[in-house]
Amino acid sequence: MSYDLRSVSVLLAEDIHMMQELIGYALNSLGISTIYKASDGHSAYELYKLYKPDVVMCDWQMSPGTGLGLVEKIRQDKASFTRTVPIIMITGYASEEYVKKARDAGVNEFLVKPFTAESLAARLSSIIERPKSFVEAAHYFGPDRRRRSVRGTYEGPKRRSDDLDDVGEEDNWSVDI
Amino acid sequence: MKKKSRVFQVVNQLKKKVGMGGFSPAGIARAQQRLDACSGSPKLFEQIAETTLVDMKRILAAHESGQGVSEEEMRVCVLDLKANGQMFGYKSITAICADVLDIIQGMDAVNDDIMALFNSLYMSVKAVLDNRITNAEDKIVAHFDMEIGRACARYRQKHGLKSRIFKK
Repeated sequence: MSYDLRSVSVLLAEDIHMMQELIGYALNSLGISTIYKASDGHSAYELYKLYKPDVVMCDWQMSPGTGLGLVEKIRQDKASFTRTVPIIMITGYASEEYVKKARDAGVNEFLVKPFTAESLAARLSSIIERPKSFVEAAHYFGPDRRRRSVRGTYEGPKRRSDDLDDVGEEDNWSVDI
Repeated sequence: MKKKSRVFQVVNQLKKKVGMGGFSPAGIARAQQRLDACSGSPKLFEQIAETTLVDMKRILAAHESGQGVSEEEMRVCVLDLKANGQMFGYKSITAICADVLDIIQGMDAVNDDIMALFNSLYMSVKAVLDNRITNAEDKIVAHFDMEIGRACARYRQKHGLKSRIFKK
């Protein structure tokens, strides 16, 4: 048995037409048939408001309106009920600086070009199976950027799963910003 | 006063829609076939690269005429060439972009030396595309790679930078 993706919709924002087609074909092959395509950040945001897709995939560099700008607009739209939509940033920028920028804007996952079908499916699986908690703070709205950590200090051979049993519910976390 | 943030779980509508089981291996294989078909079509990349070359030429002309040049724009051109070259089977372009990209990503401000490197990359990419050399092991590509590598080494020495890439 595998996922039933017939009712899933994806907004794909990519300025290079051939790349847009290629990713569209790959998504079709994975079973996603409803794909709204935009070639810049501004028109992507219009489509996002109109269709409320289940997933947003966007390229970093587009004009007018970058992928990063699109993510910020979606996350900062306080009136929207869909501002928690999962966002996958497609990029050739794998440097720490770029990852941090995108993470701070509210991106859920990264897909670095060149990518394989396996990595595309893995990013989608990640947002389906392991969605992150969301954080709402004065200057940030988006997926929880903290890495999960274990409590206490390591004092010798011990299974990591034992540590994880001690971690509390994410709902109870709160941080000072 | 510090503002308390709120951490909350979002109802996983996507999971509700798709159910259990994961992606089908057959679907992943089909998607990979599509991607591979494009990797074997360097012509697709040539069209993408032409657009990037136009942008590079515009940036070089702007610098030449004393107008301000955006670091971000330069970075995007090189990154696009590098990433899409790999994706569409033009590994030669990816190879010659790596060193310049490393410098551009580490630079603080645009200067004449970096623009000279950017120009060398532009000329090299143009020559590789004009001659449709896709193979990264090609002699001409190796020559361009070596020359650009030397120019980058001189730049790093002059500006006190360290390379952040590993080359075999």
